[in-house]
Amino acid sequence: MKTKIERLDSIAEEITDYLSPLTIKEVRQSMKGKLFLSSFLLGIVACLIPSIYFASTNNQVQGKDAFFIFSVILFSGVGVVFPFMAFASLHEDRLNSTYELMGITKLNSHQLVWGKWQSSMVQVSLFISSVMPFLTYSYFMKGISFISILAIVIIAFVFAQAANLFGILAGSLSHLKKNRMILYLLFVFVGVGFLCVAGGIGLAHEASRGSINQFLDHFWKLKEIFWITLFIVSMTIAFEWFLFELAAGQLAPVTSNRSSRCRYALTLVYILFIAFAWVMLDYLTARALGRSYGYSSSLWLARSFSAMFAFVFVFVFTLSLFILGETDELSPLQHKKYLNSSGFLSRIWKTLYMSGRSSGYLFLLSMLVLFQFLFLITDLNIFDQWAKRESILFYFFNAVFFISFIYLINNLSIVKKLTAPFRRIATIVILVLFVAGPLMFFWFDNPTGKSFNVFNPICFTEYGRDKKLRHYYSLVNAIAAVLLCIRCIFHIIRAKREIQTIRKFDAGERGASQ
Amino acid sequence: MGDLIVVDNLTRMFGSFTAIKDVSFSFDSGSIFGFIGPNGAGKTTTMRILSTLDIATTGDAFINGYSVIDEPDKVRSMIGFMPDYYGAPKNMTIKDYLDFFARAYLLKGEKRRKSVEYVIDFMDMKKIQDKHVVTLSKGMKQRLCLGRALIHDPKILILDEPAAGLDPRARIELRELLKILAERGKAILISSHILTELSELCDSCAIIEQGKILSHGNVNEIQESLQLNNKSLPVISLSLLEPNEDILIHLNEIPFVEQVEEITKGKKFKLKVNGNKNQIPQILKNLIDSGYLVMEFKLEGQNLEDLFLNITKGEVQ
Ligand SMILES: Nc1ncnc2c1ncn2[C@@H]1O[C@H](COP(=O)(O)OP(=O)(O)OP(=O)(O)O)[C@@H](O)[C@H]1O
Ligand SMILES: [Mg+2]
Repeated sequence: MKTKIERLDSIAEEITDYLSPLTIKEVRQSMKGKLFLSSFLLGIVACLIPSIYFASTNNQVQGKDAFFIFSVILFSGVGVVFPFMAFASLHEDRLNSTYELMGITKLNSHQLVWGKWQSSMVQVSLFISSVMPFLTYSYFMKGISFISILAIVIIAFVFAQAANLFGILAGSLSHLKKNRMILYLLFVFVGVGFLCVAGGIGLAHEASRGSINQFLDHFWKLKEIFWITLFIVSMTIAFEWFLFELAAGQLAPVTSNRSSRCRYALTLVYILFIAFAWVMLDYLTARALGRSYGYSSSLWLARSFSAMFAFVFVFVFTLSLFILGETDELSPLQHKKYLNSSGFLSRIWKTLYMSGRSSGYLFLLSMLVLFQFLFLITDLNIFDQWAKRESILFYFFNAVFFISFIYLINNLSIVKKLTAPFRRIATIVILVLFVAGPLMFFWFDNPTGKSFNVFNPICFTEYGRDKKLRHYYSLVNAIAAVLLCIRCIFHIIRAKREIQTIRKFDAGERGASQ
Repeated sequence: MGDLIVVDNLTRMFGSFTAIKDVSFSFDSGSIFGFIGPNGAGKTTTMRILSTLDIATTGDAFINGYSVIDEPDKVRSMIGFMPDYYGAPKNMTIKDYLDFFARAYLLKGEKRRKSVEYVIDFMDMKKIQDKHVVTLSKGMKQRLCLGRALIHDPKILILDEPAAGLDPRARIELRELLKILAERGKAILISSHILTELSELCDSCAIIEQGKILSHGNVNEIQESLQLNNKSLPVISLSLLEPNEDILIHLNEIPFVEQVEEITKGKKFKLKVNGNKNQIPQILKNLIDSGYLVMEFKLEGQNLEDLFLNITKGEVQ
């Protein structure tokens, strides 16, 4: 006879059969290591210290100040502590090769990433819920609206998702060479951590001044509310999906197809972005011409639109690092499929969606060329307006140019041979100075950004004013785009020849053995 | 070609360095196949390719007819791989660890519990099942690792140096376990550079050096073929119970003894014998008839270790 508890136990066991094995493993490990408890305590301890100060000081502390302090704690945890913990835990699992052995079980790499992500999100949720009482306490101190607190918590949760994925991505890359690893880590923990904490603090500051209420009042009245919300939500999901696929691809054994899914996610992000860019350019044209075309005319919309462009830079930078790190070894399954494919279109398709460094470059660049083209044709009528705002758009042009330059020194055989001794260094220098640098500087306000112009050889103030200069740079970019297109076509033609040779060889061998 | 495991001309290059070149061998279920070679010979590389953890530059391998390159998913469920490193995740007990891998192989409910219990019993880990994996000694970790490879009851076991670092008793136990597993119909591929062990354990083996298979087949066949090729004279080591000064002269008078080397004065000797194998017992008979108290009389160069040194001699850089 089973006792009640035993029966309950076995029912619980049955239920766990339907959960992901990874989730169970992570939860068990976290419980044994008291990680959940410490995540919870971390929030309480960090918030208690300022609370004690508020209680002891003679000055009347306002609710909005308390709120600000607690938000800083919230975002620091979410942007730095937990992504780092996710990174450290995955890194350790990879070092002790647990993940390699998991890779040859029936679990797939998506489940591995999913399990890690879930468990780190559980920790984040515990942390947030331990900060929640303090935020509520600041509400009762008066001076901060409930809606602001709610908005900040939701934003923190969304930030946490992306930041943890970055942490997991960094952990999944840990088999890379040391210098590249350091680059990634810097990117993740200085770049993403900084953005997340700084962005969070900025938002909290705005919120404590009551801006969120104003913003929302305004926002609900906008005509475009549905589309903007749709864009933000779909972009967030697509980007997270992309990060997810990147990490999963890195964790999968070499024998599986490691990169098609990353490319699918990327394509989705690109398509969304192109749609967004198109709408935005249309909108700006309308504003420039003084006509509304049914758009709401509001300054904040213009500002937030251009801020969203920064997103592309985070994106392009991550992407180029990832693409550079992709291995040259094609996944054999993919390779065979590729060899069996006939027809020009299917070959283009397969070239783009296959793993390997050169096809990665081609993918990135053909997408960038598409953008280039898009902006070149829209350049015709709205550039004047655009230029006065000294927008990030100019950086974008330069980034395309320099990334294509990286591509050329790494892939065009003549240039490759000439630049062999300093190729790696050149790649990193170009990336940092001309792509990552401008990206970072964008985050300063425009007046500050101006003083960093030395990093940008194309001085954008001049760029905006001098028509000739502008056309010159448009030309340079167009040439880069055309060069890349030609390179793509060559690649595909060469692939065709390669296939023919292999087919002949195959046929010959078969003929001989018969 | 009906064998369970067929390795067909595997080549793996790391850049321009060829780690293994045209490696081919095959063996069937119920047998233990030894993979022998010095450090850096390419054993681990081959085994990783068979376990679908790595890809061959050219060539292929078939496990139960499935290619490790074309159908890695089908191969994975049939093999249990024990690597030559033993990583231990933090905050996990032996039971949790095995339970996790059982779940990872999608075993559910009663079946999962049974297989975890079975492995714990089989590997004799009942007493330590609640110990944390990180706190285990090397031998215990190895045992756990073998247990993990067994958890989904695979047809094929690929064990990379499972005996390295084990004490003599644990080695014997491991040998017994492997024999039991082979009797139950599993095909076992085991690599080692501790050769004496494999000679008793394996049905057939391959000797690999610098990425190439030097010799391959039944252990006895390899031994015989080597002895045929071995042009040097057989050597016998002889030791007496008590030192005896006269024996040196006596030994030199025995007809087939070509050369005598005195190791310890009057007690230990090495004899080079001229003639065929059948004459060797005659020497022993002669000594005993003459009243010498023989403690040890042994033909040298016959175990796998010596053969191994013979074969690979001169190729080690
Ligand atoms: N990832 C790698 N990159 C470059 N070379 C490698 C890699 N893995 C293995 N090698 C090389 O391939 C050769 C074979 O290595 P392998 O690990 O297969 O040897 P092994 O027979 O297992 O040796 P040991 O007995 O020391 O375990 C070695 O020279 C090694 O340096
Ligand atoms: Mg090895």
